[in-house]
Amino acid sequence: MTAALAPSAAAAGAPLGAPLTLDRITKLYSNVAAVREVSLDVAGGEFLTLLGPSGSGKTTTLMIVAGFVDADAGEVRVGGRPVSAIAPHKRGLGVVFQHYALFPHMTVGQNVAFPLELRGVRGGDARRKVSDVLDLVRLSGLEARYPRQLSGGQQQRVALARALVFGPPVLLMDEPLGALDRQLRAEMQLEIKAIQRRLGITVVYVTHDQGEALTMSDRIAVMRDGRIEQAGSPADLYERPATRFVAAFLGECNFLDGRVVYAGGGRTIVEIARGFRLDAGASGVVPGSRVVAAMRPEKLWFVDHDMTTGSTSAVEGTVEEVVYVGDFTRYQVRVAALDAVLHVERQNRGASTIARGDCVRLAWDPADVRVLPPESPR
Amino acid sequence: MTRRRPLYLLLAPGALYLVVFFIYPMAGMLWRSVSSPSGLTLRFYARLIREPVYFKVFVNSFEIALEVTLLTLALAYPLAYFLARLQPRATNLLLVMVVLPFFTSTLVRTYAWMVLLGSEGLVNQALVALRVPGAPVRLLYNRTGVLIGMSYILLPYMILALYSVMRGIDRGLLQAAASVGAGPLRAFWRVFLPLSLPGVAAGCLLTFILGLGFFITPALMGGTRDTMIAVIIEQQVEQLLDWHFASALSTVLLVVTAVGFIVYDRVVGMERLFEARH
Repeated sequence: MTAALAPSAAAAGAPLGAPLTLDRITKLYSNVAAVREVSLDVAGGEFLTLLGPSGSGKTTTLMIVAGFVDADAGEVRVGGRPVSAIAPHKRGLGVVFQHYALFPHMTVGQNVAFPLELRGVRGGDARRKVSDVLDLVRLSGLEARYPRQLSGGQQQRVALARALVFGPPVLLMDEPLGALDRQLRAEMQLEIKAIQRRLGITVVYVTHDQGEALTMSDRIAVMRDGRIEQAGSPADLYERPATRFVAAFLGECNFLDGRVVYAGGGRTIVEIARGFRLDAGASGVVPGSRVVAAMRPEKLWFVDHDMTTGSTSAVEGTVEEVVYVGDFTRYQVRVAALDAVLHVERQNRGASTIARGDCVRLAWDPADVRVLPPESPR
Repeated sequence: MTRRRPLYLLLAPGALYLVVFFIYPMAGMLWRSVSSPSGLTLRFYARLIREPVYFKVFVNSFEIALEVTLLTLALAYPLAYFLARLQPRATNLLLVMVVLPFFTSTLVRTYAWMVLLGSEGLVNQALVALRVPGAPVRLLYNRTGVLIGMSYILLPYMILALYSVMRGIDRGLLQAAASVGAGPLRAFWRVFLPLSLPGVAAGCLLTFILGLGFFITPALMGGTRDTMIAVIIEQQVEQLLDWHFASALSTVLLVVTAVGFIVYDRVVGMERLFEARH
């Protein structure tokens, strides 16, 4: 069905996508750096997400790759070839824009055939490719419609088809699902991921939605103030965030400020407010330095008051808030010993017996406590 | 329902004004064009067809209006394109410059052109000084003069009609065109131009209709062979005192204009004329 798009190489598992390199890209807007020294190596066939809040430089970075924004310094290479001097229309990269940017005066078929027409592909050849790619995005039979006659999700699929039809080695996507409702987003995330895997195309995807980034990406680069804060696999970033910003941006996190009193032998001890000594796993910090201890809400659990905790740590607290979220429940527990309110998440299995005002005992595995450098002011 | 009724009363002053100063005189004009002391007649219309000089004036008027329309389109399109691509703040100043001529009367501006274009005018003096062969050139009291004068006066209408549509064209579409491989010329030809056509249609229709009924400029800058409808209507009213024939001429002009609007409405949609975006 998609023979025209995915030659046997892709079917055999060899990626079609070209590797992409960003080498110390910098972009200044009226002397303020929108992108600072961004370097990235994206492997052929890799799905890389640029994740960050608005204004972090992720879209500017993407537009520099596409060629719509000129970098002030640095180089972009596609398949090893520098493209900085190549005009956007000659780069041959697929781009899916935030608001789709479908041509309103052309039908779906004409929109998708336009890239082929520009490459001199006409007649039966063009028709076959258009129908193949529309099959791929599950829009067959809508060739004659105009974009305004389609739903947001369908327009999104047309934009994807138009960007894929000419077989680009790299696909750039700028918040493509931003305008869709939650359920449709979730559906499209999986579909885009499946199409990407099938074609073996390299994707650079921009989003501010951490859930989307975790779901779709092979690798995520978290951006902040024009820099890459940390890049790694979704599990890497979630389990082993390098900074407080990354820990807070991906999922929820409890943060406790403190000072390292012992480090060594795969163990770190952090003194929190009121002299509480928090046991943590290995870290690269030296005793005496100021740090932030980070604990994910789902890594904390409730234990009986009289239970011996073994290798785990435990504290007493009072439940201040209970929020039922369907598949799990969020608790806010005030812990006097830490002078803090800890967020706890627990999967809902059977009826919950913990209510507001209850005195509880919280436990965690010291290995799940991340010791991070304190936020450097920017 | 009853609470909404007072809203319609707001229309009354305007409606009354239109009835007294527009509909009543127009009915009078229609009546005079088909009546004579001896009863109803079509002889004024017949005269219009019978006497070649009047038919020629109609043909002239259409020719001039069409030529002026094409000329202003050619001048206005690049300018409107430029304006639409600018940052909004810069555009405002330039748009004020576009409409600035509206604050001066057409008569004054036409006289100004006559000073510039006369055989001893600034333009010809410059051409003579530069030893351009054939100078001084005749730029006044002929078709050239009429086209220059009318295009100048109608240009802002065309610019505004084009600009309002072009401003609504998403610049992202041109990026999208580039992303699939279209160079700037292809992107313009296949994406921008088609999307700007409603503006072209609106601007051309407006310019053509306004041009068809033009009076001052052709009267002052045109030769005897460039007489337009409005000029002979004025002659009939002011000099020959033939109000019946003047009414017939006016009625034909009115009908032709109305047909233009109807065609436009069928082809493009009348709401486009008043709309900033497509």
